[in-house]
Amino acid sequence: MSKQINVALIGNPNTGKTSVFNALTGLNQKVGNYPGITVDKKEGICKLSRGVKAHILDLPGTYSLNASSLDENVVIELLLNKNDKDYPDVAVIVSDVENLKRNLLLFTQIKDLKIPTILVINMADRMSRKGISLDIKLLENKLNTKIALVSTRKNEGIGDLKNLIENHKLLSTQPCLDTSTIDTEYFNSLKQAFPNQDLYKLWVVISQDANFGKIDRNELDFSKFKTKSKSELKRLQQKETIKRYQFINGVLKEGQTIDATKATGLRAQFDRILTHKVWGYIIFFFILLTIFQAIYDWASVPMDFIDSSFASLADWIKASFPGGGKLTNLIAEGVVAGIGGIVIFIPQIAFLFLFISVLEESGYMSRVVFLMDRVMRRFGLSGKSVVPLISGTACAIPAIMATRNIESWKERLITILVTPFTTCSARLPVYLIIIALVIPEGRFLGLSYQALALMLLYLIGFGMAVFSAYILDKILKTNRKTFFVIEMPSYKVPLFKNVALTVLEKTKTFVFEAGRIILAISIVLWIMASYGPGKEFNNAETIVEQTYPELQGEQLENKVAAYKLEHSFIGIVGKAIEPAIRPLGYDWKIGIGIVTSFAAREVFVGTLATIYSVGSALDDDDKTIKNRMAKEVHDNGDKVFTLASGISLLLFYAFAMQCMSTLAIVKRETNTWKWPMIQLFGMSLIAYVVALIAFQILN
Amino acid sequence: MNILFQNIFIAIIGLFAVVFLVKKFIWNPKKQNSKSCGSDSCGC
Repeated sequence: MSKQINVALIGNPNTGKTSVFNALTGLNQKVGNYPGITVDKKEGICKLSRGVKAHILDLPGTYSLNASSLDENVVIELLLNKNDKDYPDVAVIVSDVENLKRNLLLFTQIKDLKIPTILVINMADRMSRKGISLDIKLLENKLNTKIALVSTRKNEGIGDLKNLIENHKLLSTQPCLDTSTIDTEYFNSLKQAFPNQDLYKLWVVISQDANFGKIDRNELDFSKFKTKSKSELKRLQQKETIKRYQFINGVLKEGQTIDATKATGLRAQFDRILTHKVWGYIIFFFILLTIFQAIYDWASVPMDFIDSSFASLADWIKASFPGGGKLTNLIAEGVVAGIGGIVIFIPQIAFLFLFISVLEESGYMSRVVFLMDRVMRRFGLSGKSVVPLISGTACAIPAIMATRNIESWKERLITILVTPFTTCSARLPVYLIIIALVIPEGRFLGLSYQALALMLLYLIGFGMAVFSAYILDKILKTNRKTFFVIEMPSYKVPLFKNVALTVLEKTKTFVFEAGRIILAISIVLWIMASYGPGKEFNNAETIVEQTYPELQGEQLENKVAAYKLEHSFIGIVGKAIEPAIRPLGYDWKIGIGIVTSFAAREVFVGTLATIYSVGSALDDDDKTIKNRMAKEVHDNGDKVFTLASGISLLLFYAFAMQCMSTLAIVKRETNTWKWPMIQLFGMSLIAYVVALIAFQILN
Repeated sequence: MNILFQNIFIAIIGLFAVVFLVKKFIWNPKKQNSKSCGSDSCGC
């Protein structure tokens, strides 16, 4: 039987931990969730020598064992619980050669938990450029550990690290320092009250703000022990940190030398420009503009290809099984269209994450977050909300998942609630077709009215997100004051392997998580549109033939299909909600589109394409969906799509919460249905009121 | 294929889709962690 070593990969953010993880595991990795919470759990397998494997768990980045965020809790919970199946046989602490002093704080804390520990000093290739030299032997002796000097960029030192992991039993578990000296009396009484417990573990549990799922301090019997107040514990924590830094300073004084003359000031010069209060914003604006232009331009080619491929596949299925009847239609119009509806978004999502990953890897994203914090804080958001709001322009699902690194629950919740207001790519097809229908083709200062209308909708979405955040900030109460700390990592050329793995992982998550939901909804919608109750649906042909005896051939077929749709289950739903949407200027067919697009916005155009492709004369002008929609009239002969109803519809789609996948993600992120329901009803109410006002004024 | 069989087949596929959606969104058998992760009552 093969032997498996449990390895926990731990480190401060931006130390290249993920690069070490990727170097160790390659493609043998998977991403899941920690049970009960929504923090990503990345694990992989690394083959060592014959028959020996290492199970590598990439834990979330943490600065210390004093938890301040959900991610940090995960690290502490694992390290304190020996019964956890992932409890490490060896902890690998990844540090950055340029930030050793700060990174060693976490190392000394984990070492004091008496877990066999290896110190990885990453980014070793930068040492000569930065004038850094290290006495590894001396550092190993002082820190009671083994050190692997690694450069993931040059793929150096990974072999040494694997050897150290394999020989983890030879590692010392001697702690770095004696924490009890920060308050001898207190620690003595702690030892007397809990003689069988490890003293430092006890201290870590007692001094945390958080409760842990598996190690609950309430389970410890405190009746024999008088603990300190929260503020006293905080003071002791500070004392502990100072003591640790004194130890680290002493070690580094002997083991590390930095030749300041060799270090270049390029980073500081870049920072001065990129975080400048004027130039910083201008540069960021142009980078954003370039990214979104590139996303739409580059993604359009593969998207068109996917679109036409799926259309061809559906045609091929229908042509290959002409006698297949409803089952063929379900596969061609339901399943294939459903899968196509998922796959078509892959290029945009892949490109977005490609750019985000490049910005993160290069170190620029931290500057953006710092820059935007100044603006966002006024509206109850933090600089970290910028990333989700930017990502929301492509898709709200990954955007909401990106809120996980916001430490403050209130800021995180506000960001989750307002992100769906930003214009996601699923709104784009709806906007494009309605704008083409109701906005004239003229120009203003060289810019077309239609392009301006589209830009205005993006601005309205972002403006509404910020305005809602401001209101929510006033409503939601919290007993915790927030602070914003962001590390400015060095600028680096992004590693292709890291970027590629990020894109692959994010795209996979979208396809397999949101995709299954969209596919299931597509099937249900198709069935609802293809079946109906009562005689009117079942005898549609006879009724239409009697009512319209002049119709022949294709016209008759179209009329029958339209009649069937009107009396199908989905048609009944559309008719039922018609009284509610009439004041907004919509008819029952638009109503069906709205109902179906509560599953996903992009379904709207597909639904209208189906509805309006039936029941009308088929001359050449009517072959495009736009022309058919333009000719659509109410019973009284008035046009359905006018400037008033079009603007009303655009505003409805700008504000309504019409994405079940987003609601599911919000539920997953907040662990309750309360917030997605507030989001659904709140946003839909805003959308309804704004659309109503717009129609009534413009009509 | 016989129309009746087709309808039965479609109903089964539809049922699977509905059960999947219900399990996904409404009825979740997994137990949630009720403990607070911090001091600001986030409930996550």
